[in-house]
Amino acid sequence: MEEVRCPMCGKPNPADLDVCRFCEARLRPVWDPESPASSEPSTGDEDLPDWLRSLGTPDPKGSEAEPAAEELWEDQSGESDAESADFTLDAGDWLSRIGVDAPPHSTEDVPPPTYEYQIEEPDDGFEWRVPEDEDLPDWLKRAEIEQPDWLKRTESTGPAADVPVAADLPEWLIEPTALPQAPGAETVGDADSEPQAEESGAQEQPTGLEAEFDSLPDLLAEPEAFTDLPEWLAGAAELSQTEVGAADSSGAPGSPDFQADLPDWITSDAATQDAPDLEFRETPADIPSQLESIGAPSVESPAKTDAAADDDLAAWLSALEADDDAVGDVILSKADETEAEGDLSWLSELEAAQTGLDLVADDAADALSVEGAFDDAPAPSGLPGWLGQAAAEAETPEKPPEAADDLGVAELPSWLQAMRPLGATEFAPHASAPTGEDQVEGAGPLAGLRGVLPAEPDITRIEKTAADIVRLQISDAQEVQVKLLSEMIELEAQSPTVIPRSTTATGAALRLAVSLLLLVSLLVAIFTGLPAYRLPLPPAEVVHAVQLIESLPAGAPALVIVDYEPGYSAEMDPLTRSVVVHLIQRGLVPVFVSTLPTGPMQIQRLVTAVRADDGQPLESGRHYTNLGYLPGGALGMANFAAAPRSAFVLDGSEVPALQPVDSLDDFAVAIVATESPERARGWVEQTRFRLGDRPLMMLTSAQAEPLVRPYYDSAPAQVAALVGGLRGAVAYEINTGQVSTAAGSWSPYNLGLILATIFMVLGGVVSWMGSRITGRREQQAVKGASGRNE
Amino acid sequence: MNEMLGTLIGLFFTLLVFSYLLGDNVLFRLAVHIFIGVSAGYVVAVLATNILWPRLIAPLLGGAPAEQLAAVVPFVLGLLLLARALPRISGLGSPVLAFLVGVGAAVVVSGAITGTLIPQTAATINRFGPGEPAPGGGPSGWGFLDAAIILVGAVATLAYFQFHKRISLPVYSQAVGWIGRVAIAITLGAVFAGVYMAALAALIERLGAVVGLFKGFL
Repeated sequence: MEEVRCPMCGKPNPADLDVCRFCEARLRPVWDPESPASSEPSTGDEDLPDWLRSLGTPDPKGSEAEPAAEELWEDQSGESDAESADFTLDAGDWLSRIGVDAPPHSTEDVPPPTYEYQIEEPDDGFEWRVPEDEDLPDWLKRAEIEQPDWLKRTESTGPAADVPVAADLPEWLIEPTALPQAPGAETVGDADSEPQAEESGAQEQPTGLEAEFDSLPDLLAEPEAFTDLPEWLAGAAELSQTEVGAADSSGAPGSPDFQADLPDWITSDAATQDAPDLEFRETPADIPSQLESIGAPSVESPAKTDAAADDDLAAWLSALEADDDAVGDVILSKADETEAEGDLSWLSELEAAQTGLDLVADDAADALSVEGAFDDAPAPSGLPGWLGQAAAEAETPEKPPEAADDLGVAELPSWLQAMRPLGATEFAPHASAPTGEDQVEGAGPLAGLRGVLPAEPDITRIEKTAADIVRLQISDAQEVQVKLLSEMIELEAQSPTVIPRSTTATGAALRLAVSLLLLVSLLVAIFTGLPAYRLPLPPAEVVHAVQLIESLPAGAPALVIVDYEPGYSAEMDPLTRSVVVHLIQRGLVPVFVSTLPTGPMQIQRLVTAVRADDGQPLESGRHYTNLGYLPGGALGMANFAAAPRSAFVLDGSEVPALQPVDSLDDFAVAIVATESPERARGWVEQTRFRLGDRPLMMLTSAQAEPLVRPYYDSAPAQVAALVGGLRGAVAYEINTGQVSTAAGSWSPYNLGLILATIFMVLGGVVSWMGSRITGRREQQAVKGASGRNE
Repeated sequence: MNEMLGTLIGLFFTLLVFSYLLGDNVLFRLAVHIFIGVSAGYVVAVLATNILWPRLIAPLLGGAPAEQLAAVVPFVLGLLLLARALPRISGLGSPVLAFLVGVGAAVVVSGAITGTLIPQTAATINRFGPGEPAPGGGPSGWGFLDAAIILVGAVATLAYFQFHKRISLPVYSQAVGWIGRVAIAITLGAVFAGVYMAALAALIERLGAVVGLFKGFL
């Protein structure tokens, strides 16, 4: 069995198939002028209407069976030879394929004549191309499936007697004087589908022209096909449908309903002039000559030039707008108002989309005039696909100017305008290189050409501007506030500038003079011992302290807290040493502890300078005990006051003196030697309640004595005894009969105090006098200025 | 010999400190830096030998199980406290630091209330008792006057620390504030005198050491 390869998918199919079994593409064209079957009735034309079938191939039987049709054609056109009635059509394919010499069906028994017509390609610059089968869209190739009944009934094949084509054709096609009968021409079938015509339809598969007629008449005849139509087309169909509905349902070719289905240009005045019982609607004024010859074959249908054909096409297309035809009304109603004035070149654009032609005409943009008409044109089953596709293609993004002007600039509210950043558009990314038709290509094979499409999309040429900071719109008040805030923040970051005092040379000299005077005086006093000052009388607190130590039992441990810094050793060492010596003389065992890291060193220096009664150095553990450093500050004091033994890792064998000590009140006395008023207060606060009846004695520096005295002067006194400073040390040594080591410092100490007093007094007096002099000068200056002003 | 060497070094640094009379200079800064460094080093040595080793490390290494268990807690807390030095893990030491600060504040505040505030207030009240002698001896009337002065001075000092920007204080409030300012001045003067006396004693001791050294050389 022979196989035919499908032009679409390339797969082999049996030769007898008309449609590919894989992709359902047509294997054989609907109408192939080159094929011999196209010139003679073929079995595939059973689906075509007779009138359509007769257009494609000359039907000898038709010519014999319809002598009346020839006569009709002859009467009207005066031309009997249908073969010579060839004309060129430069319109769409479907128009061009219409057999101009197609004779109408005059009788029912007469087979539809066939016509031959030629297509003369116009040379008006358009590149016309008759699409091959493989170029046909799928809808066209599937036209066999969607062939309307009227097309199927009017098939030219088969016995003419079995083809009741006359009933399907319009009268103007059936009348012998209407159209010249062309050999092999097929008659145009009725739009209304009839079972008879369908059964005896042409065996030949409908060609491209026939397929185009498939959907259009079907669209007009079947109401269900109108559901997916655009409104402008649906209106026309509905209108035609209403007209058809009132006509004979048999769908005789000459019946008004069939005639109403046909476009107006088909039902022209010339064509229907001699056609009896024809009710044509008002036809456009200009009907292409090639279409006029359908109804009047006698009329010459010369080969028009391409320009003339275009003019005719444009003329009858443009005449549609003035027509009160429903189709035109629907079109106008759907088009934009501005576009309603008559630019219907969209139809030509649709044809170009169908045939694959490239329209370079400027009328392409005008196709938007009926853009709205194509909004509802997806690809319905009854609507030709080319109609929907052309509608989509016609929707170019370019808007007509009139339509763009209708869009006014939106008015932003004030608050939104304030939020809009300044210079947003100027800082918006933009294409680096301008594009347009004026842009001349500078490189590549297209160098020198204008309007060259860029090889790279615009998105790749977008670059940011140098300044990518977007500024906000702020008012003057806001700007001032922003400046103030920024200044405040800057001031916080800046360190305050210290204005240096203007130190004069006299200030430095005065300071140096005072220092030298003091140093010299002290050196003289130390070196010579002059002037000799009387040793101080023991103050009351010193006497009380001595009495306190005297009252302590011998052999009892005495807690001595050494909490002064090494820098105060010159003042505190004599005082502390005198007390420790007194303790040892009384037989008490000093237990030293310190809350300072340097305390143990201070304690060691202290005990080194003390000698026992026998003149021997003191022994640790026997004569004294050094517990060392007590960490923790106030916490350490509290811990030691609560549990003295747990504060130190003590072993009874190492410290026999501490064997009877379990709590703080087991000590005979607690002596605190410190130069800091804070540490003195801390020991008072932490140990006062732990000591119970045991006395607390303070040995302080001269600077801490005023701050510790309230504890001594309070009633009840929290501090039992208070000895402070070098004066207290000297007094304590004298009162205890010790060899005073502090007495040698008494004279320079007093001299230094006297000199300091003199300097303070003199300095105060001089400062007071200087301020008064300065004030008087300022007052005099002010008075003088005010006097001059007066 | 060691005593002589120590004396000479002391003399050297004494002269370096005295150079401040001529103004801030490198010698004085050298002496200050050395003093701070030596003090810090000595403190570290004392802490390591007297605290860390005998109370923390030794029990962990060779102590009894009970001692070891007792030493683990402070050891871990100490490590967490050291984490404060690293910014990333400084948060680990926050609880430990908070514990220390909280306990220390509790001890200080409780001691201040029970050891200073209440007793001193009571003592001031008791001063107004009839027949109460003056501190340090004297007629009984002096005690009452002394107490009154103390009371006025304390109240006036507290009243002085009122700062208003826009509101002008009344006359009596300004008078009390003036009295408080006088009391503060007297207190600061007394403290300054004690500081001077302490410093003078230190100066005399240093000058005496220098003189004694020169006498020894002579």
